[in-house]
Amino acid sequence: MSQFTTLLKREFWEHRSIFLFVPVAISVFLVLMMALSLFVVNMEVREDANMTISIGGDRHETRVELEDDTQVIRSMRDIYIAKIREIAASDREYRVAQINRFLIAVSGPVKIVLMFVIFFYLLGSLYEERKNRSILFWKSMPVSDFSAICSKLTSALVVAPLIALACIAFTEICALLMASVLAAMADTEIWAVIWSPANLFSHWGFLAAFFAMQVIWSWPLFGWILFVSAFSRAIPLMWVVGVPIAVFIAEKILFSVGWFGEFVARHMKPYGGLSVSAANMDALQIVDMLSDVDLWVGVLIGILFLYGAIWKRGSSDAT
Amino acid sequence: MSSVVRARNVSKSYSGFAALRNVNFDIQKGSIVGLIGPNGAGKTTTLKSLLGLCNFEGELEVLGRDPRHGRHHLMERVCFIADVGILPGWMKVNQVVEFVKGVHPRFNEKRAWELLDTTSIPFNKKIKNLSKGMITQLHLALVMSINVELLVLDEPTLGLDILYRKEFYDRLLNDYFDGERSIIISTHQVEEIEALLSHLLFIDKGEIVLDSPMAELADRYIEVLVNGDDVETALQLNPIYEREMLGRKGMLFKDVERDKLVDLGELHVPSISDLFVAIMKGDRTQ
Repeated sequence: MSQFTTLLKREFWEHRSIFLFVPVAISVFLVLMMALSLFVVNMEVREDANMTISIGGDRHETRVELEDDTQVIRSMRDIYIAKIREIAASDREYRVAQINRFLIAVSGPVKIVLMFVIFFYLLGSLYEERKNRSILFWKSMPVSDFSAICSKLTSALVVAPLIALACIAFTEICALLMASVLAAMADTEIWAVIWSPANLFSHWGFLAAFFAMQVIWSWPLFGWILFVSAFSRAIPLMWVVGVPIAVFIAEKILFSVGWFGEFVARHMKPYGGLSVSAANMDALQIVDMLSDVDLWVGVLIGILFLYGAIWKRGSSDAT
Repeated sequence: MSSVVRARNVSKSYSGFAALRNVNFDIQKGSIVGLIGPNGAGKTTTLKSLLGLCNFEGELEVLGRDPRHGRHHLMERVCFIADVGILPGWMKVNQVVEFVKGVHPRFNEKRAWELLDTTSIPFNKKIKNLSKGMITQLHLALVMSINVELLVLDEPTLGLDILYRKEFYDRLLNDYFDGERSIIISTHQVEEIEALLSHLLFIDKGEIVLDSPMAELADRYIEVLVNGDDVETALQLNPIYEREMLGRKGMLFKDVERDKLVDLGELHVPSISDLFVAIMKGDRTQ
């Protein structure tokens, strides 16, 4: 176990910037933007979607003359305060749905970037070490190819998502704190309107479960990326994208079917039955997904790719 | 003495080119073996084969194991420094120490820091910012802190200046070698390791052309600076190599009794480099 921990640490040291700094930077940026738009910069949104921004009291200098003075001008803050009043006036079910939509929106950027991080990390994981020849050093240590590759997969599919989750949690707490300030301005009950419907712990549990299911569902694609990383002699990005496109075209022309293309497209998206809102997710959807033959075909394909990558790393003449 | 490495009919070819042809040799426990040959002779291929880094045909046993299977078990007992700077450039010096500590059960961290303290390597710098000499010092310090039975060095001092090269081998001999461990060094800078070796392997065009303990070399190979009058007599004894030396003929004899040579001129024990040239050239003219 201690050896595996060291291998994980090694991956983290090498990829600290994409594993840690990128999601942290995005979270901090999001929080700052929210704070700026709500409390510092007076951002005004017109209902015809024109916008004027004024800082401090200089609003007259930056103001664009309106052709039609009947349109309502409101600041972002006012819009949100109005929204919070609306939520406060509704029943709990509506509150939960609205707050959850807000949380999902706030967590979006980090989630999207996480996908890119995983993609590029896996693609380089077995390629870079061959390119810079450090593989000879790694191979001079009593670490099996299986352990080494597992440490890379674990870094991509467990460590990076956990860090992303922590960043998402931070962003969401900050966002809810700001919402609380607005709720106080709107004279509503902060706990009952904001924090109780947010139900943060179950929301985070949902995010983790959602991601775990996504990893299993997209596993054949992750396996493919790793496989390309182990085999590619140059430009792995070209192979990882090019081969599926070539197969897709060949399939269309030769057999006029789209089975392969559909399979790839299906596994790139979240599982069909999994909704993106904690409010409507239940155990049934997970059972549904786990009993889908398509999932297990994908898992098997992914394992074959993984096996191929391990075999390649073990047998390649490492020069 | 027991064998650490046992090679029988080991062959390897890269897309038609035979890098090794039926190579046979044994490496005894406690020996320091020089694997010497010109560029492209098969040195690196031989070493890679016994480290489990490439496939081959034939029979090869390293510490009783087939290196093609379970490389990571073998690496608990074998260490190597490859011929290129392979320490990862992005790693910091203290990270690489922590890494080896975490993955290698036979690593002695205290010793590594003791060794590193004697160098001027800055510990929190990235490896890519160190000089080539420092990287080699670092790698040697790591390897010397791992208690293995066999150490394999493939051109370990390539590209280093003479001071580093000398220090490298001094350390290896004085601070590392204990008579129990075995070391294989491949190089084409023969002179530097001459005094170190206990056994010599010459390799040329994928074949072992000399396999001899150093102690026997002096008995088997004698170089004579032949007196001008005795050249004809000397030639009749079939020298394996002859050359001009300061206006006199130097001839190298193999397996010729000392008594027959002693009257012909000055007798020398040939240096490894002389022997190397003689055997390689002889090999090529045949």
